[in-house]
Amino acid sequence: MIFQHLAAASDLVLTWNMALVLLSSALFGLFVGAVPGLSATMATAMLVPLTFFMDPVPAIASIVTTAAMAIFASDIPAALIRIPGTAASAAYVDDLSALTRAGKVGRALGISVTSSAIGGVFGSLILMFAAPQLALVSLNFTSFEYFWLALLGLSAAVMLGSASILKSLIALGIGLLIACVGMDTTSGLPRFTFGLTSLLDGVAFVPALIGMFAIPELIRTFVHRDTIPKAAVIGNPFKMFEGLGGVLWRHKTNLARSSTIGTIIGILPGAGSDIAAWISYAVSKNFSKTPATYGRGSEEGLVDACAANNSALSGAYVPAMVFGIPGDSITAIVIGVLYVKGLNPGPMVFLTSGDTIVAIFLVFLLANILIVPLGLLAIGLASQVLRVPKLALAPLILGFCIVGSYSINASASGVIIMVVLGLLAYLMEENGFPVAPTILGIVMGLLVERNLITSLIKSDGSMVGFFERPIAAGLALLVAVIWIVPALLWIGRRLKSSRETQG
Amino acid sequence: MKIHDSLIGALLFALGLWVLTTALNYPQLQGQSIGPGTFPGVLGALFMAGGVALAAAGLRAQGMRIIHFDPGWRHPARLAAALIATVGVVIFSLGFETIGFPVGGFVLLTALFFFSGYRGLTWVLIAATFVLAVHLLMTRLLYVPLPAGLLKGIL
Repeated sequence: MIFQHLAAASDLVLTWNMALVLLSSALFGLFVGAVPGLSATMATAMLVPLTFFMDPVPAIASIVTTAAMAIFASDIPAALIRIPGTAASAAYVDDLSALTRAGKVGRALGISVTSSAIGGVFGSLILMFAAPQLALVSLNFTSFEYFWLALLGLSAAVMLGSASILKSLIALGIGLLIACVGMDTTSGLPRFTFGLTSLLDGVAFVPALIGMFAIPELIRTFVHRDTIPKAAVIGNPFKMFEGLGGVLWRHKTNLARSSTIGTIIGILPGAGSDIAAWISYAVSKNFSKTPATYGRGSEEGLVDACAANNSALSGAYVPAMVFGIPGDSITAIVIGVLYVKGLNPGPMVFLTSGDTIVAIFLVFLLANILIVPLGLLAIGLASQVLRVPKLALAPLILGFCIVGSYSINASASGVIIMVVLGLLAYLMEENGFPVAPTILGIVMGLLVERNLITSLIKSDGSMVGFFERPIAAGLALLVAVIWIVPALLWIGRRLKSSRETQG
Repeated sequence: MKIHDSLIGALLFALGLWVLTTALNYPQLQGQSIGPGTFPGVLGALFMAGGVALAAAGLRAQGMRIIHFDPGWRHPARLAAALIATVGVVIFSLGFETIGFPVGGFVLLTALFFFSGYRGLTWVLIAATFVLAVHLLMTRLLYVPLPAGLLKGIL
């Protein structure tokens, strides 16, 4: 499929318009990623209103490039002021910071930029060749398989996160409930609309996203303004490649392993680059000959985690493209954009819009290759960017958020949704409820409910139908494993600790 | 702002109860035992169970006030900035078409800069330039119908 559409896809990608989109998105992503607290997801959400005025390929290209750059650039504040720009950098922030204190900031960021690019290219190649094959298999999927697949994604989001399972589950429920607002797709009955006509179409997705990611951060910036530390000095960024080849060659196995782990985790619906970075870092420490250096400036750990987070970013697009199920918050946004552009994600899109899909794959490769030269530029400019106080940027960011939320439906109700859900997200985060499951719930709520109701109608209300088809039964088993294994581990730990207490 | 888990649990239970009773009142699909209330009904029941579990966990873990405000909230200027960024934006949205983005946005941004400690003519000019640039970019270049409101006829 790839080679068949390559020529036409290249024509879509290799244009001056695309070059401009890639460059401006890359600079935007690098800027947002380099400002601590502004996440890659927030950058992507802020970009969505602009994508409505672009063709499909440039629209997706701008999002992919912004996200890839922001995830890499988030390592810059992690190294300079020990604040990870995104959750993906949190796994190795201590190593980056320790290397900076040891005067090796150039080396640390050099490892980060090259490992991110290698991991990203690896993930993109897997996406290019695995997604079309998977799409062929998924053509046989019915509502039963889609229901279990969606449940698998939601379960992974709850179980793989770092927050308490109960709170993650409640957060997911809140997202699913928000998705219920509006006219029911099966019966046309308005649900939870409080008589407001603006809610009949449901809670607008983009204002919800902007609010849930931006508003909590803005409130924290205004209220806890004295907790933002000052940046360290980078020095000459062009010296960061000195000795880097040797480091990467020594850890070539780590690069391959982490890129693979990252891609697989990315492919798993509901698990994104942050989880990939944490797991790869843990695996790397487990296999390392020097595990004691981890968290104290380990170059090896850095190679692993950086390669994993960018490869996961590409991997997350496999379920997004093939099943329309987001791998993480960023792909959730991309799915929304794909729908707006008439490229309804799912197996059929590979048959009906082959050129566009291959062009999107090419954009992934380009974006990840661009990380190296543009990352170098970003590191050089980072000292300047970090001098702009986040507090001074906050009112301007709010201005963008208002305009972005209004533009979706040219209605002020979008702005109100942004603020209300933003306040909800702030309260959730302050009290240990993760926001990511809520976002996934909002995105996947309709998919889960529609497939549940359709399947129940097909099976005449019987649950047996959900397990009759082999793939559906396999997916149901996977969902059960995701829930049962941690429960068994928890019971085992409780029994062990009670035995120790008694002993 | 931190809220005790027992209170969050109680609120979740109440939410679950409301969702469940509302969902039970929805009609079923013709000839089916399911309908538009099935899925939200399940969610309502889950909220009730989750609320009880959370409240129980909260009651076991003692030593925290029911509602705890972080020290940052006690600064009047910070509180004002946070209120403007939330309540202020909602009030602005209610009169969005009448006031318009240029005037409303300018007032909002200037107030936020003021309460963030960025005072003086420079910051007023930054707010004005930003709002005008965004308005022109959105309306002229991207054709987003941002209302000019009070400045209708001028912009």
